[in-house]
Amino acid sequence: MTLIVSHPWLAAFYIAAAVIGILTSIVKLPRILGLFELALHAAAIISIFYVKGEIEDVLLFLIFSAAVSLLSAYIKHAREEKK
Amino acid sequence: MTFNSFEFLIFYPIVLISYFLLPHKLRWVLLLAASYVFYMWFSAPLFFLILFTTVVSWICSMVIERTDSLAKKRLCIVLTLVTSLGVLVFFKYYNFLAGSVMSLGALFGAEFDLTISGLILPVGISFYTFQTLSYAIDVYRGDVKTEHHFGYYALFVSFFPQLVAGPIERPDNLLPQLRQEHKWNEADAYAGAKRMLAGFFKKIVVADLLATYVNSIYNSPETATGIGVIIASCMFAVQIYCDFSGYTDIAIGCARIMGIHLMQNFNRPYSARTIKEFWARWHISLSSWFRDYLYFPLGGSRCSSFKRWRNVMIVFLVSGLWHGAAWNFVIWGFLHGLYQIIGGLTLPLRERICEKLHINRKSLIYSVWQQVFTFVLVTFAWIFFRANSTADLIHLIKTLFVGWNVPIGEAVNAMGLTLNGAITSILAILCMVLIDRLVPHEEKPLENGAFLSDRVVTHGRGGVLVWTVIAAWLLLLTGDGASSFIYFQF
Repeated sequence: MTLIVSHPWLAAFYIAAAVIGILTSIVKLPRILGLFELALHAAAIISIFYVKGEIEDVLLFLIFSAAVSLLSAYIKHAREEKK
Repeated sequence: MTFNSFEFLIFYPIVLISYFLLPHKLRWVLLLAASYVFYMWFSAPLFFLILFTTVVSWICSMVIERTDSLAKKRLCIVLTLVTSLGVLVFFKYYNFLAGSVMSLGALFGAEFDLTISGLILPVGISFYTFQTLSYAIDVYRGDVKTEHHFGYYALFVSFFPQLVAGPIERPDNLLPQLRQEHKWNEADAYAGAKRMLAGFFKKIVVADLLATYVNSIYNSPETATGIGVIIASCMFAVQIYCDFSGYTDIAIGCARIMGIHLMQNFNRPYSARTIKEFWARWHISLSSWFRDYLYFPLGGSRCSSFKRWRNVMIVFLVSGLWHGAAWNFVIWGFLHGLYQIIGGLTLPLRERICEKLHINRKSLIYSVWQQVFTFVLVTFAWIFFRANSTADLIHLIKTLFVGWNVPIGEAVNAMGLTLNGAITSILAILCMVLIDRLVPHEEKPLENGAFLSDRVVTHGRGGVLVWTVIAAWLLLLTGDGASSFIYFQF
């Protein structure tokens, strides 16, 4: 997160990863979006290293992406179970 | 080799591919050879110990089946108990007992050395010993049929996914599955792979990351603060759960891909509302083993109140000792026994208090309170479990109550916990909680043939988890985070 303070444009990757993570739980997205998701994460990792970030920063981004994705999946799963 | 090693990444696919290519009648040979290779990777000479235990228990069980003489049956079961437990006690407890005797002697001015230097604890001995004992006792009781095929029995004892850290399997669950022919099944493969991924995530991303902060306190207790002990202990509670359940998930996943269903070992233990419930959710294979082979034979709860609580305390003292040859493990077990006794004795009083105060014991708030309180009790006990020595333990407990003269920010910084680290830890724990709820323990097929978890763990999400595991692994390789599994030391 401290890397975002010094390079605010990195926040765009976080927001994009969060949006895709939420969307995959809400709607059935075309398979091509899976490739886009992969490209997004790869671009984020490259960008982090480009601004001299470290593996901890990469890990933080990936965990954030996983957490948003899993949380939205859980919320949807919990709603379906209630029905 | 451990599950999170490069060697295992080569070993497992080779075994798996060979397993499905071989005809069924040769598969036990492959799995047995693979299991022994897996074990000997830790220590080749100690392989003879597991072989010795296997041979003695198998022969004794065969004699038990074939003889009508009760005296001979008893002799055989006693022989099995003595040899299996004897080996365990010698390798695991000899130096501990010798050290205790020496400390006692030193109090009276006697100086002598009874310890044996170089006595190593064989990996997995606590687990495979209990597994052979459950087989022998079940045969003696007539609860299971004797396995006449030595190869299948040896495989039951040494099956590599669960050999070194459980789950402690029962013969009526594992033996029939080892004998059964398993064809390649996509559903089993998918479920098993997801389970392994969940296990790797818990171990590498959550447990090993938290270990760096836990170690900063527990490996240097003299510099710890009160807030540091609390944070590190809470983190250790999560670390040990993720480490152990992560291992179990990988073990269950490995076996599942081969079509073998191992027993579940955890069921969201920190959701427990009482200590009794905690032990029905934590290390289920061990707690059920102690229930069936120690608690019930002692009389269980079908006796006087005094004997019932005596039996509970005996089980937990033995459980503490099973976990490690040190007094802090015994105290840990004693604490859990004490918790159960106090909980049981005060239950009528607590129910009356709730009735008088019109507290709804089935309400969500009450349930949350119970879970938090149980977590606090369990985490306090974990301090005893994690402390490196009795001296460290005393220091940590003292610091917990008096070490509050340092500002919280400074105390947290002293642990090496940065803002990045704190956010990463919180998100990782959140992921772990969600994975535990989203990767069902038993894949239930839906009406259209798909599986429930297909909806919630999509390929994309699985991909993110894989990348996270890889990133965490790389981070740990460059640092000095924990890499071995905690329960390997037992």
